[in-house]
Amino acid sequence: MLENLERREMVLNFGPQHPSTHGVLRIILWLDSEYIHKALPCFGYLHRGFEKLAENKTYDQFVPITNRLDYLAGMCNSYSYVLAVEKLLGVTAPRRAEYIRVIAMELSRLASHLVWLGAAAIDLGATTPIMYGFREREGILDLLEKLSGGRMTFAFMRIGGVKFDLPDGFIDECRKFLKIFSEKIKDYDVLLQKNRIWIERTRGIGVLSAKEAINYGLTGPSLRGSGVKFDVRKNDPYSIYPELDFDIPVGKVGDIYDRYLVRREEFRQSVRIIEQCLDKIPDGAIMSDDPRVCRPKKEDVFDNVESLIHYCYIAMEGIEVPKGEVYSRIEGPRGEFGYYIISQGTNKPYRLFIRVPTPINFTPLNHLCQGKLIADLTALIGGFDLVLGETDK
Amino acid sequence: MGDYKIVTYKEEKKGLKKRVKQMFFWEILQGMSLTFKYMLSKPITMRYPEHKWVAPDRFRGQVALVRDEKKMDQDLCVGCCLCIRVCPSGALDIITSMGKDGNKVIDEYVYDMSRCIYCGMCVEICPVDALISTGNYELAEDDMESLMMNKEALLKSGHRWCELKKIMAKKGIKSQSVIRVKPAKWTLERANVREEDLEVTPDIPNIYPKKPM
Ligand code: SF4
Ligand code: SF4
Repeated sequence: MLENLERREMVLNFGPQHPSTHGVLRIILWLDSEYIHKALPCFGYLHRGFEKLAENKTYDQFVPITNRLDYLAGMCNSYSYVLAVEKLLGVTAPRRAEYIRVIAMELSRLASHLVWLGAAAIDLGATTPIMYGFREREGILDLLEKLSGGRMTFAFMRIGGVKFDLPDGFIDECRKFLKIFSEKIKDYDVLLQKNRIWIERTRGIGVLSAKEAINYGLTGPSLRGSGVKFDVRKNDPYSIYPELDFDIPVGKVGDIYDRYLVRREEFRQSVRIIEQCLDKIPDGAIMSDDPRVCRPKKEDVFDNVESLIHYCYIAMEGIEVPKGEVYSRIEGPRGEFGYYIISQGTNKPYRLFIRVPTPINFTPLNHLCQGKLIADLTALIGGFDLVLGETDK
Repeated sequence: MGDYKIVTYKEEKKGLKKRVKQMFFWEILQGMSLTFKYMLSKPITMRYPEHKWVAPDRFRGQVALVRDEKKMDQDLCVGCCLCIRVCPSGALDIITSMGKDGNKVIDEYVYDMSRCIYCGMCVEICPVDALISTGNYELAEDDMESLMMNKEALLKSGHRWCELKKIMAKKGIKSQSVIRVKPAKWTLERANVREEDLEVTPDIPNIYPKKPM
């Protein structure tokens, strides 16, 4: 009789249908009653073969597909990609295009953090913040829809510029939105910042020291929560970020609460960046005039035979990129997002590697959950801001 | 410019104030009062499908073909096949032949909606603007067959969309607003919406730039 009561290790599948795994993540747990011995995340349920897909598409055709990687912040993904191709080509986008790109990227970052805020809170049983998060996100998506024509899949960046100029009235609407949004950040503070349950569930959970965080290769708010001063926008500046005035929030303790505070402060900093961009945005072209990437105007095509040939050549053959290798990185909402491209001088990449932050940020999971409760695991998943679209590629 | 800024948990000062706050669940009361405040304000959601969202001009919905308004018997499309070449997902196909007078004739134009990723590359590249992105986003169908469109269907759909845009302009319905469509005509583009079926809804409050007139 007694040996039946002996405690045995139990193996449990957490996900892929579990509501708090933010998609199709499966974690295999070895449990002793409710305490975790070992956790092993299994990725790949959303694998779509992006890297292989890129080898069969021209450089232009891959732009709309990049939006599908991290679907919460599509603009950042495409920007990193076009930046890599531009580096290889030696093309720079005009300044107005860069400003539009930065506005779009920061709006994307806000939208992504808002989803994170709601999702992390709902995992811990607070069902209200997601309503407010999605309310503000709706305003952002409307702005981006007006700008690019899509709510999540923008297909907006082009190699050498952007597809559209700012629509009429965009600047005013954006200012109006930012003003309302800055007020609404207080709502989240009321709901979460001082909430005893939120503090108890997040403080001291998942503590990573600065050294550990660096050794695990963490980036983004997860790294900065541990007090490491690293942000690609400051340490390896790209686009127009060096001209803008903004702070980078860093935490101290390295627990989930500090990561929350870092992201919350990034709301304010992103608002600051967008406001500066709206003030400073110059006039001018939105597409580089380099003949390798820029198509002639449609009006010229039927009048001028050279334009016709050039237009059809770019459309049929795509952009030819010189031989070489390049790595570009940007600061996405979750961390360093990069593309490594090897070109053989043709119109298609020979090999394309995508460095995505989420799976790398997730590597300390086993270390962090040992001896913890399952309830802490959901808090941890929320704290790392998972997006399975980019994890599984 | 700018610097690093340290954010971390700040312990509240110990004392009577903290004790009282703790005893009465002060922060939870605050959260509840916030929820209560919003409970009394008007809802900001729209009641789909009774209410419909008018997509902005740049929206990329289903692709359609258009004809020249004046010469309705003649195709605008010149059969250059650039759209097929740029399409990242291979959703388009075209069959052309030599006409009597030596011009290229478009025999058939195939659009597979189940493959399309609505990226708008085809519309962007078309040198004669024969392709348009409609604002039609209600594309669910019962079977796969209905997702394949031929030239005739594409032209019809393009024509209807242009008509609908005219009606909306006449009624003063702006893009990115919410309209009400009479229940029997729930699908905007496919079910031949007439002018009297569209109503303007005034009952969603304006908190974000989008909201309706
Ligand atoms: S919208 Fe994109 S995927 Fe769809 S047919 Fe046009 S090019 Fe192809
Ligand atoms: S690009 Fe335009 S003109 Fe050329 S085949 Fe396509 S629809 Fe016809």
